[in-house]
Amino acid sequence: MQILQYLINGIALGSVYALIATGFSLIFNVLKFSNFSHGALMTLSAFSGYFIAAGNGWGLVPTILVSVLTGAAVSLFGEFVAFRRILTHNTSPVYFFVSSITLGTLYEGIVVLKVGANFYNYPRFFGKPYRIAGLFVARSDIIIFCISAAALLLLAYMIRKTKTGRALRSVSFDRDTASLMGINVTRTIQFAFIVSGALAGLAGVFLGINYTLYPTMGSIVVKGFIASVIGGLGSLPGAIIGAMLLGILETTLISIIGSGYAPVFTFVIMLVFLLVRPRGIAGSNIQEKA
Amino acid sequence: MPLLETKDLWVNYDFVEALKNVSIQADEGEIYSIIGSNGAGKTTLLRTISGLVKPKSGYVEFMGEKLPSKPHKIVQKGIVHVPEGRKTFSGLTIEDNLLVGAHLHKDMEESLETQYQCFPILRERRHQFAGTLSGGEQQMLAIARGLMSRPRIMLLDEPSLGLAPLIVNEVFDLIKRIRDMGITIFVVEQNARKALSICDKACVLENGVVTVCGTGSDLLESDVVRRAYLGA
Repeated sequence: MQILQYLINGIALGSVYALIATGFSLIFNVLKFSNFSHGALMTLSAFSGYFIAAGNGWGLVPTILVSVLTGAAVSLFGEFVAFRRILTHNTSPVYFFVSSITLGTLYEGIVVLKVGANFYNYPRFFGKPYRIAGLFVARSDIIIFCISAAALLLLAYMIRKTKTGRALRSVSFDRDTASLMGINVTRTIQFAFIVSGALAGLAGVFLGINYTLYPTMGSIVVKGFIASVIGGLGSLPGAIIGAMLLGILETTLISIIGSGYAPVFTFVIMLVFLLVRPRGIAGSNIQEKA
Repeated sequence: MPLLETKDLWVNYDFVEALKNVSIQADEGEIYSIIGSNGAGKTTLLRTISGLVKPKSGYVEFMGEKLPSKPHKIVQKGIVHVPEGRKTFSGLTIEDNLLVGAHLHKDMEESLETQYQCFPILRERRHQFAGTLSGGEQQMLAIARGLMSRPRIMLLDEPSLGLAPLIVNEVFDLIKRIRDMGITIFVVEQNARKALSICDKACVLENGVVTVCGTGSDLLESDVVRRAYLGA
Protein backbone atom coordinates (compact mmCIF):
# COMPACT_ATOMS: atom_id res chain seq x y z
CA MET A 1 0.00 0.00 0.00
CA GLN A 2 2.79 2.34 0.98
CA ILE A 3 4.48 1.61 -2.34
CA LEU A 4 1.33 2.63 -4.19
CA GLN A 5 1.26 5.91 -2.31
CA TYR A 6 4.89 6.63 -3.32
CA LEU A 7 3.98 5.80 -6.87
CA ILE A 8 1.08 8.25 -6.88
CA ASN A 9 3.15 11.04 -5.37
CA GLY A 10 6.00 10.27 -7.72
CA ILE A 11 3.96 10.40 -10.89
CA ALA A 12 3.00 14.05 -10.44
CA LEU A 13 6.57 15.03 -9.64
CA GLY A 14 7.76 12.93 -12.54
CA SER A 15 5.41 14.65 -14.95
CA VAL A 16 6.85 18.04 -13.98
CA TYR A 17 10.35 16.67 -14.49
CA ALA A 18 9.15 15.36 -17.85
CA LEU A 19 8.06 18.84 -18.90
CA ILE A 20 11.47 20.21 -17.91
CA ALA A 21 13.39 17.39 -19.56
CA THR A 22 11.50 17.54 -22.85
CA GLY A 23 11.81 21.32 -23.12
CA PHE A 24 15.50 20.97 -22.48
CA SER A 25 15.93 18.00 -24.86
CA LEU A 26 14.12 19.80 -27.64
CA ILE A 27 16.79 22.50 -27.81
CA PHE A 28 19.53 19.95 -27.27
CA ASN A 29 18.21 18.03 -30.26
CA VAL A 30 18.01 20.96 -32.58
CA LEU A 31 21.16 22.88 -31.68
CA LYS A 32 23.24 20.20 -29.90
CA PHE A 33 23.91 22.21 -26.80
CA SER A 34 22.60 22.18 -23.25
CA ASN A 35 20.44 25.22 -22.71
CA PHE A 36 21.38 26.25 -19.19
CA SER A 37 18.98 29.19 -19.28
CA HIS A 38 16.04 26.77 -19.21
CA GLY A 39 15.74 26.75 -15.41
CA ALA A 40 15.86 30.52 -15.04
CA LEU A 41 13.31 30.84 -17.82
CA MET A 42 11.07 28.57 -15.78
CA THR A 43 11.49 30.83 -12.74
CA LEU A 44 10.82 33.98 -14.72
CA SER A 45 7.64 32.52 -16.26
CA ALA A 46 6.35 31.19 -12.96
CA PHE A 47 6.83 34.59 -11.32
CA SER A 48 5.15 36.44 -14.16
CA GLY A 49 2.23 34.05 -13.73
CA TYR A 50 2.20 35.07 -10.09
CA PHE A 51 2.44 38.82 -10.58
CA ILE A 52 0.19 39.17 -13.59
CA ALA A 53 -2.46 36.57 -12.82
CA ALA A 54 -2.50 34.64 -9.55
CA GLY A 55 -1.47 37.63 -7.42
CA ASN A 56 -4.40 39.61 -8.79
CA GLY A 57 -6.86 36.96 -7.80
CA TRP A 58 -7.13 35.32 -11.20
CA GLY A 59 -7.61 31.58 -11.25
CA LEU A 60 -5.50 28.64 -12.26
CA VAL A 61 -6.16 28.73 -15.99
CA PRO A 62 -5.15 32.39 -16.51
CA THR A 63 -2.06 31.81 -14.38
CA ILE A 64 -1.04 28.87 -16.53
CA LEU A 65 -1.73 30.82 -19.71
CA VAL A 66 0.29 33.85 -18.61
CA SER A 67 3.25 31.68 -17.59
CA VAL A 68 3.18 29.64 -20.77
CA LEU A 69 2.94 32.70 -22.98
CA THR A 70 5.73 34.46 -21.06
CA GLY A 71 7.91 31.37 -21.33
CA ALA A 72 7.33 31.15 -25.08
CA ALA A 73 7.88 34.86 -25.70
CA VAL A 74 11.00 35.17 -23.54
CA SER A 75 12.45 32.02 -25.08
CA LEU A 76 11.94 33.45 -28.55
CA PHE A 77 13.63 36.67 -27.43
CA GLY A 78 16.52 34.63 -25.95
CA GLU A 79 17.03 32.80 -29.23
CA PHE A 80 17.37 36.09 -31.02
CA VAL A 81 19.73 37.90 -28.64
CA ALA A 82 21.86 35.00 -27.41
CA PHE A 83 21.96 32.30 -30.07
CA ARG A 84 21.07 33.63 -33.52
CA ARG A 85 24.44 35.18 -34.36
CA ILE A 86 26.37 32.20 -33.08
CA LEU A 87 24.23 30.03 -35.31
CA THR A 88 24.51 32.03 -38.51
CA HIS A 89 28.25 32.37 -38.17
CA ASN A 90 28.75 28.69 -37.48
CA THR A 91 30.94 29.51 -34.49
CA SER A 92 32.03 26.87 -32.02
CA PRO A 93 29.18 25.33 -29.98
CA VAL A 94 31.02 26.27 -26.79
CA TYR A 95 29.67 29.80 -27.27
CA PHE A 96 26.12 28.47 -27.04
CA PHE A 97 27.03 27.11 -23.66
CA VAL A 98 28.51 30.40 -22.42
CA SER A 99 25.65 32.36 -23.94
CA SER A 100 22.97 30.21 -22.31
CA ILE A 101 24.57 30.52 -18.86
CA THR A 102 24.76 34.29 -19.27
CA LEU A 103 21.15 34.46 -20.40
CA GLY A 104 20.06 32.33 -17.42
CA THR A 105 21.89 34.66 -15.02
CA LEU A 106 20.15 37.61 -16.63
CA TYR A 107 16.68 36.07 -16.20
CA GLU A 108 17.40 35.19 -12.61
CA GLY A 109 18.73 38.69 -12.01
CA ILE A 110 15.51 40.21 -13.31
CA VAL A 111 13.51 38.06 -10.90
CA VAL A 112 15.74 38.98 -7.96
CA LEU A 113 15.36 42.69 -8.79
CA LYS A 114 11.61 42.34 -8.48
CA VAL A 115 11.23 39.97 -5.53
CA GLY A 116 14.50 40.10 -3.61
CA ALA A 117 15.18 36.87 -1.78
CA ASN A 118 11.58 36.36 -0.71
CA PHE A 119 9.51 33.26 -1.09
CA TYR A 120 6.11 33.53 -2.71
CA ASN A 121 3.20 31.15 -2.79
CA TYR A 122 0.49 30.78 -5.36
CA PRO A 123 -2.94 31.00 -3.75
CA ARG A 124 -4.50 27.62 -3.04
CA PHE A 125 -6.12 26.62 -6.29
CA PHE A 126 -7.31 23.25 -5.02
CA GLY A 127 -9.36 21.77 -2.24
CA LYS A 128 -8.57 18.82 0.02
CA PRO A 129 -6.98 15.71 -1.43
CA TYR A 130 -9.17 12.80 -2.45
CA ARG A 131 -9.04 9.68 -0.34
CA ILE A 132 -9.39 6.62 -2.49
CA ALA A 133 -9.12 3.18 -0.90
CA GLY A 134 -6.83 4.43 1.83
CA LEU A 135 -4.62 6.40 -0.55
CA PHE A 136 -4.27 10.16 -0.61
CA VAL A 137 -4.45 11.71 -4.04
CA ALA A 138 -3.91 15.46 -4.17
CA ARG A 139 -6.21 17.27 -6.59
CA SER A 140 -3.27 19.34 -7.77
CA ASP A 141 -1.38 16.16 -8.61
CA ILE A 142 -4.23 14.93 -10.79
CA ILE A 143 -4.46 18.24 -12.65
CA ILE A 144 -0.68 18.44 -13.03
CA PHE A 145 -0.50 14.93 -14.36
CA CYS A 146 -3.37 15.38 -16.82
CA ILE A 147 -2.19 18.70 -18.23
CA SER A 148 1.42 17.50 -18.51
CA ALA A 149 0.35 14.31 -20.23
CA ALA A 150 -1.84 16.25 -22.64
CA ALA A 151 0.99 18.69 -23.43
CA LEU A 152 3.49 15.90 -24.00
CA LEU A 153 1.11 13.87 -26.18
CA LEU A 154 0.45 16.95 -28.26
CA LEU A 155 4.18 17.51 -28.60
CA ALA A 156 4.78 13.89 -29.60
CA TYR A 157 2.03 14.08 -32.21
CA MET A 158 3.41 17.33 -33.57
CA ILE A 159 6.94 15.97 -33.87
CA ARG A 160 6.02 12.62 -35.36
CA LYS A 161 3.10 13.37 -37.61
CA THR A 162 3.10 16.95 -38.80
CA LYS A 163 5.03 18.78 -41.46
CA THR A 164 6.49 21.15 -38.87
CA GLY A 165 7.62 18.18 -36.82
CA ARG A 166 9.33 16.62 -39.81
CA ALA A 167 11.04 19.91 -40.54
CA LEU A 168 12.19 20.07 -36.92
CA ARG A 169 13.62 16.56 -37.09
CA SER A 170 15.45 17.22 -40.34
CA VAL A 171 16.87 20.49 -39.01
CA SER A 172 18.15 18.54 -35.97
CA PHE A 173 20.02 16.21 -38.28
CA ASP A 174 21.53 18.65 -40.71
CA ARG A 175 20.65 22.33 -40.94
CA ASP A 176 22.27 22.97 -44.33
CA THR A 177 20.62 20.02 -46.03
CA ALA A 178 17.27 20.90 -44.45
CA SER A 179 17.52 24.37 -45.95
CA LEU A 180 18.19 22.76 -49.35
CA MET A 181 14.81 21.04 -49.00
CA GLY A 182 13.07 24.40 -48.78
CA ILE A 183 12.84 24.47 -45.00
CA ASN A 184 13.20 27.87 -43.36
CA VAL A 185 15.77 26.86 -40.76
CA THR A 186 15.55 30.08 -38.74
CA ARG A 187 11.77 29.79 -38.40
CA THR A 188 12.07 26.15 -37.43
CA ILE A 189 14.59 26.91 -34.70
CA GLN A 190 12.42 29.78 -33.46
CA PHE A 191 9.53 27.36 -33.29
CA ALA A 192 11.60 24.93 -31.20
CA PHE A 193 12.43 27.74 -28.78
CA ILE A 194 8.78 28.78 -28.50
CA VAL A 195 7.69 25.23 -27.67
CA SER A 196 10.58 24.74 -25.26
CA GLY A 197 9.76 28.05 -23.53
CA ALA A 198 6.08 27.17 -23.27
CA LEU A 199 7.00 23.86 -21.62
CA ALA A 200 9.29 25.75 -19.21
CA GLY A 201 6.39 28.08 -18.32
CA LEU A 202 4.08 25.16 -17.64
CA ALA A 203 6.69 23.38 -15.52
CA GLY A 204 7.29 26.62 -13.60
CA VAL A 205 3.63 27.00 -12.63
CA PHE A 206 3.40 23.38 -11.52
CA LEU A 207 6.53 23.65 -9.41
CA GLY A 208 5.11 26.81 -7.88
CA ILE A 209 1.85 25.04 -7.07
CA ASN A 210 3.53 22.05 -5.44
CA TYR A 211 6.31 23.95 -3.66
CA THR A 212 7.00 27.64 -3.46
CA LEU A 213 8.21 30.35 -5.78
CA TYR A 214 11.72 31.62 -5.12
CA PRO A 215 14.35 33.20 -7.38
CA THR A 216 16.64 30.17 -7.53
CA MET A 217 13.90 27.58 -8.04
CA GLY A 218 15.28 27.17 -11.56
CA SER A 219 18.09 25.05 -10.15
CA ILE A 220 15.60 22.18 -10.12
CA VAL A 221 16.31 22.00 -13.86
CA VAL A 222 19.21 19.77 -12.83
CA LYS A 223 16.58 17.09 -12.27
CA GLY A 224 15.53 17.59 -15.86
CA PHE A 225 19.14 17.04 -16.97
CA ILE A 226 19.36 13.89 -14.88
CA ALA A 227 16.11 12.64 -16.35
CA SER A 228 17.41 13.28 -19.88
CA VAL A 229 20.63 11.45 -19.13
CA ILE A 230 18.83 8.46 -17.63
CA GLY A 231 16.37 8.41 -20.50
CA GLY A 232 18.90 9.05 -23.24
CA LEU A 233 20.05 12.55 -24.08
CA GLY A 234 18.23 13.92 -27.09
CA SER A 235 15.47 11.33 -27.05
CA LEU A 236 12.09 12.81 -26.14
CA PRO A 237 10.37 9.54 -25.17
CA GLY A 238 13.54 8.72 -23.22
CA ALA A 239 13.34 12.03 -21.38
CA ILE A 240 9.75 11.27 -20.36
CA ILE A 241 10.55 7.76 -19.17
CA GLY A 242 13.63 9.02 -17.32
CA ALA A 243 11.62 11.81 -15.68
CA MET A 244 8.88 9.46 -14.46
CA LEU A 245 11.43 7.03 -13.06
CA LEU A 246 13.28 9.85 -11.35
CA GLY A 247 10.08 11.30 -9.87
CA ILE A 248 8.94 8.00 -8.43
CA LEU A 249 12.40 7.09 -7.22
CA GLU A 250 12.86 10.43 -5.53
CA THR A 251 9.58 10.43 -3.63
CA THR A 252 10.23 6.86 -2.54
CA LEU A 253 13.77 7.65 -1.42
CA ILE A 254 12.65 10.76 0.46
CA SER A 255 10.10 8.69 2.38
CA ILE A 256 12.60 5.94 3.17
CA ILE A 257 15.88 7.71 3.84
CA GLY A 258 14.75 11.34 4.20
CA SER A 259 15.15 14.38 2.03
CA GLY A 260 18.75 14.95 3.13
CA TYR A 261 20.18 11.84 1.56
CA ALA A 262 17.76 11.38 -1.34
CA PRO A 263 19.53 13.77 -3.75
CA VAL A 264 22.79 11.93 -3.14
CA PHE A 265 21.19 8.73 -4.33
CA THR A 266 19.65 10.29 -7.42
CA PHE A 267 23.09 11.55 -8.46
CA VAL A 268 24.59 8.15 -7.74
CA ILE A 269 21.97 6.61 -9.98
CA MET A 270 22.82 9.05 -12.76
CA LEU A 271 26.51 8.23 -12.40
CA VAL A 272 25.71 4.53 -12.58
CA PHE A 273 23.81 5.15 -15.80
CA LEU A 274 26.68 7.14 -17.26
CA LEU A 275 29.03 4.32 -16.36
CA VAL A 276 26.93 1.36 -17.44
CA ARG A 277 24.69 2.69 -20.18
CA PRO A 278 25.80 6.17 -21.18
CA ARG A 279 23.28 6.44 -24.00
CA GLY A 280 20.45 6.05 -21.47
CA ILE A 281 17.36 3.88 -21.60
CA ALA A 282 15.99 4.89 -24.98
CA GLY A 283 19.11 6.37 -26.53
CA SER A 284 20.13 4.72 -29.74
CA ASN A 285 23.03 5.06 -32.08
CA ILE A 286 21.99 5.33 -35.66
CA GLN A 287 25.08 4.71 -37.65
CA GLU A 288 25.46 5.89 -41.14
CA LYS A 289 26.61 3.34 -43.64
CA ALA A 290 29.44 4.77 -45.67
CA MET B 1 17.90 33.27 -72.77
CA PRO B 2 19.79 30.66 -70.72
CA LEU B 3 17.85 29.03 -67.89
CA LEU B 4 20.63 29.42 -65.38
CA GLU B 5 23.49 31.84 -65.62
CA THR B 6 26.25 32.78 -63.22
CA LYS B 7 27.66 36.25 -63.72
CA ASP B 8 31.25 36.98 -62.70
CA LEU B 9 31.06 34.97 -59.50
CA TRP B 10 33.83 35.55 -56.99
CA VAL B 11 33.79 33.49 -53.81
CA ASN B 12 36.26 33.67 -50.95
CA TYR B 13 36.76 31.42 -47.95
CA ASP B 14 38.60 33.71 -45.55
CA PHE B 15 41.67 34.56 -47.61
CA VAL B 16 41.45 31.75 -50.13
CA GLU B 17 39.77 32.53 -53.41
CA ALA B 18 37.59 29.57 -54.31
CA LEU B 19 35.93 30.93 -57.45
CA LYS B 20 37.35 33.62 -59.66
CA ASN B 21 35.14 35.33 -62.15
CA VAL B 22 33.05 32.30 -63.02
CA SER B 23 30.46 32.94 -65.74
CA ILE B 24 28.63 29.97 -67.19
CA GLN B 25 25.29 29.43 -68.87
CA ALA B 26 23.07 26.36 -68.85
CA ASP B 27 20.10 26.01 -71.18
CA GLU B 28 16.77 24.42 -70.44
CA GLY B 29 16.61 20.65 -70.80
CA GLU B 30 20.32 19.95 -71.01
CA ILE B 31 22.81 18.18 -68.85
CA TYR B 32 25.56 20.61 -67.97
CA SER B 33 28.59 19.14 -66.28
CA ILE B 34 31.47 20.72 -64.45
CA ILE B 35 34.62 18.68 -64.24
CA GLY B 36 37.85 19.38 -62.43
CA SER B 37 40.15 17.99 -59.80
CA ASN B 38 39.84 18.13 -56.02
CA GLY B 39 39.66 21.64 -54.67
CA ALA B 40 38.99 23.21 -58.05
CA GLY B 41 35.86 24.91 -56.68
CA LYS B 42 33.19 22.63 -58.14
CA THR B 43 31.29 22.10 -54.91
CA THR B 44 31.65 25.79 -54.05
CA LEU B 45 30.02 26.67 -57.35
CA LEU B 46 26.99 24.49 -56.57
CA ARG B 47 26.79 25.78 -53.00
CA THR B 48 26.86 29.33 -54.32
CA ILE B 49 24.03 28.64 -56.74
CA SER B 50 21.88 27.05 -54.03
CA GLY B 51 22.58 29.86 -51.58
CA LEU B 52 24.63 27.99 -48.97
CA VAL B 53 27.64 30.16 -49.79
CA LYS B 54 27.44 33.89 -50.38
CA PRO B 55 29.52 35.22 -53.27
CA LYS B 56 31.83 38.16 -52.63
CA SER B 57 30.68 39.63 -55.90
CA GLY B 58 28.69 38.55 -58.92
CA TYR B 59 25.34 36.79 -58.85
CA VAL B 60 23.25 33.98 -60.25
CA GLU B 61 20.35 34.50 -62.63
CA PHE B 62 17.53 32.05 -63.12
CA MET B 63 15.24 32.70 -66.11
CA GLY B 64 16.69 36.19 -66.36
CA GLU B 65 15.96 37.00 -62.72
CA LYS B 66 18.43 37.38 -59.90
CA LEU B 67 18.06 34.58 -57.35
CA PRO B 68 17.07 35.34 -53.76
CA SER B 69 19.79 34.84 -51.16
CA LYS B 70 18.30 32.30 -48.73
CA PRO B 71 18.54 28.61 -49.70
CA HIS B 72 14.90 27.85 -48.90
CA LYS B 73 13.78 30.70 -51.14
CA ILE B 74 15.94 29.37 -53.97
CA VAL B 75 14.32 25.93 -53.70
CA GLN B 76 10.99 27.68 -54.03
CA LYS B 77 12.14 29.08 -57.39
CA GLY B 78 12.70 25.55 -58.67
CA ILE B 79 16.37 24.86 -58.08
CA VAL B 80 17.16 21.84 -55.95
CA HIS B 81 20.62 20.85 -54.77
CA VAL B 82 21.47 17.20 -54.06
CA PRO B 83 24.58 17.66 -51.92
CA GLU B 84 27.86 15.81 -52.01
CA GLY B 85 27.90 12.71 -49.84
CA ARG B 86 24.13 12.35 -50.30
CA LYS B 87 23.32 13.81 -46.85
CA THR B 88 20.15 11.82 -46.37
CA PHE B 89 18.64 12.30 -42.91
CA SER B 90 19.94 9.04 -41.48
CA GLY B 91 17.65 8.91 -38.44
CA LEU B 92 14.50 9.66 -40.40
CA THR B 93 12.63 6.93 -42.25
CA ILE B 94 12.89 6.79 -46.02
CA GLU B 95 9.33 8.02 -46.32
CA ASP B 96 10.02 10.97 -44.00
CA ASN B 97 13.13 11.82 -46.02
CA LEU B 98 11.02 11.99 -49.15
CA LEU B 99 8.30 14.01 -47.43
CA VAL B 100 10.87 16.51 -46.17
CA GLY B 101 11.86 16.92 -49.81
CA ALA B 102 8.31 18.00 -50.59
CA HIS B 103 8.26 20.50 -47.75
CA LEU B 104 7.08 23.32 -50.01
CA HIS B 105 4.18 21.43 -51.52
CA LYS B 106 0.72 20.57 -50.32
CA ASP B 107 -0.14 17.38 -52.22
CA MET B 108 2.75 15.28 -50.98
CA GLU B 109 1.02 11.94 -51.45
CA GLU B 110 0.98 12.30 -55.21
CA SER B 111 4.69 13.12 -55.45
CA LEU B 112 5.41 10.28 -53.06
CA GLU B 113 3.57 7.84 -55.32
CA THR B 114 5.50 9.08 -58.36
CA GLN B 115 8.84 8.53 -56.64
CA TYR B 116 7.83 5.10 -55.34
CA GLN B 117 6.92 4.08 -58.87
CA CYS B 118 10.27 5.32 -60.07
CA PHE B 119 12.19 3.69 -57.20
CA PRO B 120 10.38 0.53 -56.05
CA ILE B 121 13.17 -0.27 -53.59
CA LEU B 122 12.32 2.88 -51.64
CA ARG B 123 8.69 1.82 -51.31
CA GLU B 124 9.77 -1.57 -50.03
CA ARG B 125 11.89 0.01 -47.35
CA ARG B 126 9.87 3.11 -46.63
CA HIS B 127 9.69 2.53 -42.88
CA GLN B 128 13.40 1.85 -42.46
CA PHE B 129 15.84 4.50 -41.33
CA ALA B 130 17.67 6.05 -44.26
CA GLY B 131 20.96 5.28 -42.53
CA THR B 132 20.40 1.56 -43.12
CA LEU B 133 20.47 1.88 -46.93
CA SER B 134 23.53 1.07 -49.00
CA GLY B 135 25.50 3.87 -50.63
CA GLY B 136 23.83 3.42 -54.00
CA GLU B 137 20.36 3.29 -52.46
CA GLN B 138 21.12 6.41 -50.44
CA GLN B 139 22.11 8.20 -53.65
CA MET B 140 18.81 7.13 -55.21
CA LEU B 141 16.99 8.38 -52.11
CA ALA B 142 18.85 11.70 -52.21
CA ILE B 143 17.89 12.18 -55.85
CA ALA B 144 14.28 11.09 -55.26
CA ARG B 145 14.11 13.47 -52.29
CA GLY B 146 15.33 16.24 -54.57
CA LEU B 147 12.69 15.39 -57.18
CA MET B 148 9.99 15.67 -54.51
CA SER B 149 10.37 19.44 -54.68
CA ARG B 150 9.43 19.32 -58.38
CA PRO B 151 12.45 21.28 -59.57
CA ARG B 152 13.20 22.92 -62.89
CA ILE B 153 16.90 22.44 -62.28
CA MET B 154 18.66 19.78 -60.26
CA LEU B 155 22.19 20.43 -59.01
CA LEU B 156 24.01 17.15 -58.45
CA ASP B 157 27.27 17.10 -56.51
CA GLU B 158 29.45 14.05 -57.16
CA PRO B 159 26.59 11.58 -57.56
CA SER B 160 28.99 8.71 -58.30
CA LEU B 161 31.23 9.27 -55.29
CA GLY B 162 32.09 6.04 -53.51
CA LEU B 163 29.79 3.85 -55.57
CA ALA B 164 30.58 0.54 -57.30
CA PRO B 165 31.04 0.82 -61.11
CA LEU B 166 27.77 -0.97 -61.84
CA ILE B 167 25.87 1.40 -59.56
CA VAL B 168 27.65 4.37 -61.12
CA ASN B 169 26.17 3.37 -64.48
CA GLU B 170 22.72 3.13 -62.90
CA VAL B 171 23.07 6.60 -61.43
CA PHE B 172 24.12 8.09 -64.77
CA ASP B 173 21.20 6.34 -66.53
CA LEU B 174 18.95 7.87 -63.94
CA ILE B 175 20.41 11.32 -64.59
CA LYS B 176 19.59 10.92 -68.29
CA ARG B 177 16.05 9.84 -67.43
CA ILE B 178 15.58 12.92 -65.26
CA ARG B 179 16.81 15.12 -68.10
CA ASP B 180 14.27 13.43 -70.38
CA MET B 181 11.57 14.39 -67.88
CA GLY B 182 12.42 17.99 -68.78
CA ILE B 183 14.51 18.80 -65.73
CA THR B 184 17.77 20.59 -66.42
CA ILE B 185 20.73 18.89 -64.77
CA PHE B 186 23.78 20.62 -63.46
CA VAL B 187 26.28 17.97 -62.43
CA VAL B 188 29.68 18.23 -60.80
CA GLU B 189 31.86 15.17 -61.21
CA GLN B 190 35.35 13.85 -60.71
CA ASN B 191 34.52 10.93 -62.94
CA ALA B 192 35.19 13.11 -65.99
CA ARG B 193 34.84 10.46 -68.66
CA LYS B 194 31.42 9.39 -67.45
CA ALA B 195 30.20 12.94 -66.98
CA LEU B 196 31.40 14.09 -70.39
CA SER B 197 29.86 11.13 -72.15
CA ILE B 198 26.33 11.90 -70.94
CA CYS B 199 26.34 15.68 -70.89
CA ASP B 200 25.28 18.15 -73.53
CA LYS B 201 27.61 20.88 -72.42
CA ALA B 202 30.51 20.97 -70.03
CA CYS B 203 33.23 23.14 -68.69
CA VAL B 204 36.46 22.57 -66.83
CA LEU B 205 37.13 24.31 -63.54
CA GLU B 206 40.76 24.72 -62.50
CA ASN B 207 41.73 26.49 -59.29
CA GLY B 208 38.49 28.43 -59.34
CA VAL B 209 38.75 29.51 -62.95
CA VAL B 210 36.77 28.19 -65.91
CA THR B 211 39.41 27.14 -68.42
CA VAL B 212 37.59 25.28 -71.19
CA CYS B 213 33.94 25.12 -72.18
CA GLY B 214 32.23 23.20 -74.94
CA THR B 215 29.98 20.29 -75.76
CA GLY B 216 30.61 17.01 -74.01
CA SER B 217 32.01 15.34 -77.11
CA ASP B 218 34.28 18.31 -77.88
CA LEU B 219 35.81 18.08 -74.44
CA LEU B 220 36.15 14.30 -74.62
CA GLU B 221 38.29 14.78 -77.72
CA SER B 222 40.19 17.85 -76.56
CA ASP B 223 43.86 17.11 -75.95
CA VAL B 224 44.10 19.31 -72.88
CA VAL B 225 41.17 17.62 -71.19
CA ARG B 226 42.28 14.14 -72.19
CA ARG B 227 45.73 14.65 -70.69
CA ALA B 228 44.59 16.30 -67.48
CA TYR B 229 41.37 14.51 -66.60
CA LEU B 230 40.93 11.38 -68.66
CA GLY B 231 44.42 9.99 -68.21
CA ALA B 232 45.02 9.46 -71.89
